[in-house]
Amino acid sequence: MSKLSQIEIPNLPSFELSISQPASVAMRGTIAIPDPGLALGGCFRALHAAALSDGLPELRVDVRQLTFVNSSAIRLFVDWASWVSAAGSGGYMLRFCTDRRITWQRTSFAVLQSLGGKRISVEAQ
Amino acid sequence: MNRVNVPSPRPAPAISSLGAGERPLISVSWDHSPQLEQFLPFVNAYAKGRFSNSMAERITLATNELLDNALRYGSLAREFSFRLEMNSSSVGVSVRNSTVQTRIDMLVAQLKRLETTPEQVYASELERSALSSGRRSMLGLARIRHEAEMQLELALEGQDVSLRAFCPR
Amino acid sequence: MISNLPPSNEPLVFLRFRPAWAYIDGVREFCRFFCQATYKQDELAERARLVLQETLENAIKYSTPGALSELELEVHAEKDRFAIAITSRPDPRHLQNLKTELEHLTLLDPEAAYVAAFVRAANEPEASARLGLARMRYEGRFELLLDEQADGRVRITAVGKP
Repeated sequence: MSKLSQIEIPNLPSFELSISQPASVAMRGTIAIPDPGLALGGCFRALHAAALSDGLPELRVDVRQLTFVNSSAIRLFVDWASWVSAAGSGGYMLRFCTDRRITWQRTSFAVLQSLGGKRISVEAQ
Repeated sequence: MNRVNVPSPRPAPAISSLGAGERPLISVSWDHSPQLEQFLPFVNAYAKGRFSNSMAERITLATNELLDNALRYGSLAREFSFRLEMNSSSVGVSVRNSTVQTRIDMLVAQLKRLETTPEQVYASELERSALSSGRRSMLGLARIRHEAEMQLELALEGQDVSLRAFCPR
Repeated sequence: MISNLPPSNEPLVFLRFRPAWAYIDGVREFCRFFCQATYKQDELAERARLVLQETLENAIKYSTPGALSELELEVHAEKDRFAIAITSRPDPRHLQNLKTELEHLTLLDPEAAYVAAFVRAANEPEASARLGLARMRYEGRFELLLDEQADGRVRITAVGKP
């Protein structure tokens, strides 16, 4: 059984995360809680570790339904991009699927991509 | 660029019981019809955060009835303002809007009746509203007086009407 | 930019409330809806939502405790100018950090400042994100004004074009 399928998903009132095999994650709702790092940081870290452990060539993260986040939540994506960049060629490609009509996705993922190097890809729909 | 729809001139502020330098808890001026289904839950949640549940319900009832009243009988200019205020002795909500003279006359008469016999007015308005297939006539003001046990105060300035419902803190 | 420039008219929305996280969602969504209905622009409502979230969070996180620490929120919606102002009583150490941060931010254009904030966040994984101010300028397209009031309170005004 893949590590990705065993990840425990936090239960938050306005946020949902689902994992589909073999290598897709979808997020929906909003993240506007006081400390998203505390509530979700462990889950994001586990997703990264599972992608490495499963030897995935690519992990697709669909955030199109994640309509609003506070800046502390953007930090989660910055951290994830940093881990992927640090893993280098032994890692995986982190592919974000975004909605260009949602401002925070358009602005923040463009910056993430420019910082993350070749291991980060952003697909805007 | 989309058309920008902003109030001009601004609606006059609603009647106030505050002294110089005191600020309201909530003050909103709309140049469009306030959408009660959106505004009322906000007022209710706000009031519950600040007052007892029972006071929050009274405030919400008064807000609903005053705004509903203004929406039903207000002029087509559709400018409204709302205030929730608290001073050392009372809590009150007020709504200001423009209306026509016949409506002002009705309002003054209704308030006089409510002042003297609130229970009777409530009962008769309730009956009238039941018989008039959904049309609520002046039941709203009677509810504020009888159910929420709040006093009503009217201020007039030309065609501008400001109605305030208040009670001791 | 740091300035004493106040918003020009009486606000269309004024709210006074305790600095508690529980108010954020309700206040943010009411004001977002109000902005959408006033300007008939979804995009502006989204920008307002962002500014409301970030400024309220900051004001609540850094308010000093006590009865005099209520927050005041104002929304000014005019034809050529849109402003959201939060007045709070912050911890003095936070105020100094805020002033420094705003001064640094305005040395760069909004996009460059946002990129710089991301780089800083990536390089300091254990520190707090501090993306909010840069995000309001770049994503929200608002300029930020800071006004220290005589009574010790601080007013942060986000001013943008509709």
